[in-house]
Amino acid sequence: MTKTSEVLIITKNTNGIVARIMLLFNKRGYLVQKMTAGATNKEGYARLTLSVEGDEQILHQIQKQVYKIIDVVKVKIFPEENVLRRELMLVKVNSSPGTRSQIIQIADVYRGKILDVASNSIVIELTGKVPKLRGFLELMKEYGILEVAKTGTLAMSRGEKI
Amino acid sequence: MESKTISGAKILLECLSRLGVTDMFGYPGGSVLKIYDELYDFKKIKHYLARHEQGAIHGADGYARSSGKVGVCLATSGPGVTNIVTGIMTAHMDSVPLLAITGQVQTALLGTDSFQETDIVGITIPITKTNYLVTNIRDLPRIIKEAYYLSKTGRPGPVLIDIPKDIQSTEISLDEFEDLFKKDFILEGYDPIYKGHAGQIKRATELIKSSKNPLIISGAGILKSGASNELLIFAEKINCPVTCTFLGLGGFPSNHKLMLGMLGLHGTVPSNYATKQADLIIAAGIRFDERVTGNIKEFCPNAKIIHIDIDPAEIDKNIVSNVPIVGDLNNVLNKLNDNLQNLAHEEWIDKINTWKKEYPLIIPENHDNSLVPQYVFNKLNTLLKEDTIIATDVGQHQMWTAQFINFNKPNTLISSGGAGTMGFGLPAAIGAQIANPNKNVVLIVGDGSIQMTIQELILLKEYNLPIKIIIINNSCLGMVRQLQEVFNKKRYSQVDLTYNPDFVKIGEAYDIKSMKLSTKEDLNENLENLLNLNEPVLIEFVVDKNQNVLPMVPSNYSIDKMIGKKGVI
Repeated sequence: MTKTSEVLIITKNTNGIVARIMLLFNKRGYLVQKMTAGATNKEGYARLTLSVEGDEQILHQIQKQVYKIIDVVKVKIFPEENVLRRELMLVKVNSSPGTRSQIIQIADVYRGKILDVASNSIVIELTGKVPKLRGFLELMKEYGILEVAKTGTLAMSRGEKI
Repeated sequence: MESKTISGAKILLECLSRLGVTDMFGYPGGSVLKIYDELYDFKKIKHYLARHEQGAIHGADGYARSSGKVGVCLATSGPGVTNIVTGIMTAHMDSVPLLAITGQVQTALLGTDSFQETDIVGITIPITKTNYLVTNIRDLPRIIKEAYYLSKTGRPGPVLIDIPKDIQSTEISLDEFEDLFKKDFILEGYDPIYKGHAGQIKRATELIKSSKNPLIISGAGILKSGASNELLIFAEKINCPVTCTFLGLGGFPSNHKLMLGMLGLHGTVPSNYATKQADLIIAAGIRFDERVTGNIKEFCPNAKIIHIDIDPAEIDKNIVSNVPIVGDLNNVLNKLNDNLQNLAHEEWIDKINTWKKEYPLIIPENHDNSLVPQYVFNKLNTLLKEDTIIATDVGQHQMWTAQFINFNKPNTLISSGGAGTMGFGLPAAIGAQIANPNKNVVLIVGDGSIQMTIQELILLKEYNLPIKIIIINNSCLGMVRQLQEVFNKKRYSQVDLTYNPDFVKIGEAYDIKSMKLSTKEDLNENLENLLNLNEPVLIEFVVDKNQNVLPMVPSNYSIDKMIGKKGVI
């Protein structure tokens, strides 16, 4: 059964490592929906979280193929349960003196932060699970969304293990 | 005065030499000037000058395949390195241990589109095991050691090291070099598994014991791990028929009574039938390529599968196995041999033997004196000595070689399997002869493919390589012609090579003894003598262009649905 899963890749932060990983996905025809990359607590290493689409067999293949990249030190497919998933989003929406307070109220309900208020627009920062962000965007449509920037899903297991 | 410093270029040669490299293939140019300057009086490595970079990389490949050593190739930046890309891909597809050393423009010019600059690291990411751009001379000793180790361990493969000009000419003190060389490298994410999992081996043992119709499919992994001997013991102990993939030929003796020949697209009928009817497939070092499986959904429908491979990523890639074992075949087969007692599968073997009788390989009869290629191959098989190394190019002659020539010893077939690279044969034969000066090397090649790297002929003369070149000249691109005959209603599109050069004259122009053989009489009178000469010889066979490689499995068909089982379509 095809589903979206998060793949965690921990790798030495060498030149071109993201290109290596993305070329592999390209070559094998794996579908990447989202990606986040950044440094970790261990110096010289990078942590990537990729949201990919595929069934069990494809996920296992991805895990093994990615691990063949010499600089990659760990690959893990996150299970559905016991994993924290978050995404950060910045949204710019149309606003007028008449709608501004409504937008701010809705953002409050979603625990969003107002980052910028201009005469005709407003920028909101929102963190959460994917459905929450989607729900918020649905509501914002009515006011007119001008711009959206998302980080992709970050994931971390509960408990002490990676 | 004794020099107390050492250049990057000299570090490269010194490290390679210390790692055991004695030969390299290459072609000079502006970005490797310093390396060639150091080579001028570096006596521990012999350099072979190809006439095109493609010749150099395939030469290193043939050298590696025939000896198990790491092949080394040197090329300059820009067009020099793009000319070796095909050869790197060829080695990558067939898991050949290669080191490609390439020159790069100086670090300060990187990224500026300077003369003969190309991003070869970027280009070769998908076709190397790994690759490096050296940006600091102090990394060079570690990178060379690491690259060499990576190329030959686990599942072998090509590794590329791109060295900018300024790194080649930078000097560091000898003491510092020695310190750097002594340092161990750490590869945190690389740890090939050699020992098979004991539990899995036990499960495999049980499956083997309970099987009535087992079949071993032996692949190139057997040759790479040097497991031919263990395989022979294994097959005889459990009395199990063996079929080989194309690149697996030589891993099990062709003349053994348990051997069924090659399987797959142009496999033998017994091999393909046995695969279809087996209740257990023991897949040893194969990757279930579509040339082997045909329509994968209908491949071995009745069989449980034990899949043994050193590369975990091969497990369940194309076919899901019942008992996967990740490990080195030599090791795993040895454990299985310890676990198993003698078994008998007489009924199964009798059945297979009736297929063998009913469907032998067929040499088409012709009533005049002219030559059909199958006749030539059959004759060659009787005349070639057992440990002869046979290199081929790609096409019909390659498949006839696989069908008609007996490969009784490991590493005697040198051919581009996964990539199917035309132009591979001649340079690879050269590499094989250089690695094996005391063995007979024969190149079998088509009139189409020899022309792709024909400039390498001069190396036979220059380096005194007594290779016997057999050109199977059917005046066409036979394999494509065959496909057009069968699938495109004989609409022969751009496959006619009536306008070929005179190959005998070409051979003579390169100062190689050359002869054209056009009749059975010619062949029977001359071939044996020519093969026994201790000098390079070029033999052109003029053969019937209408012959096809049979049997064949049409694309996407189940492998038992062969056409031409009796030699005609």
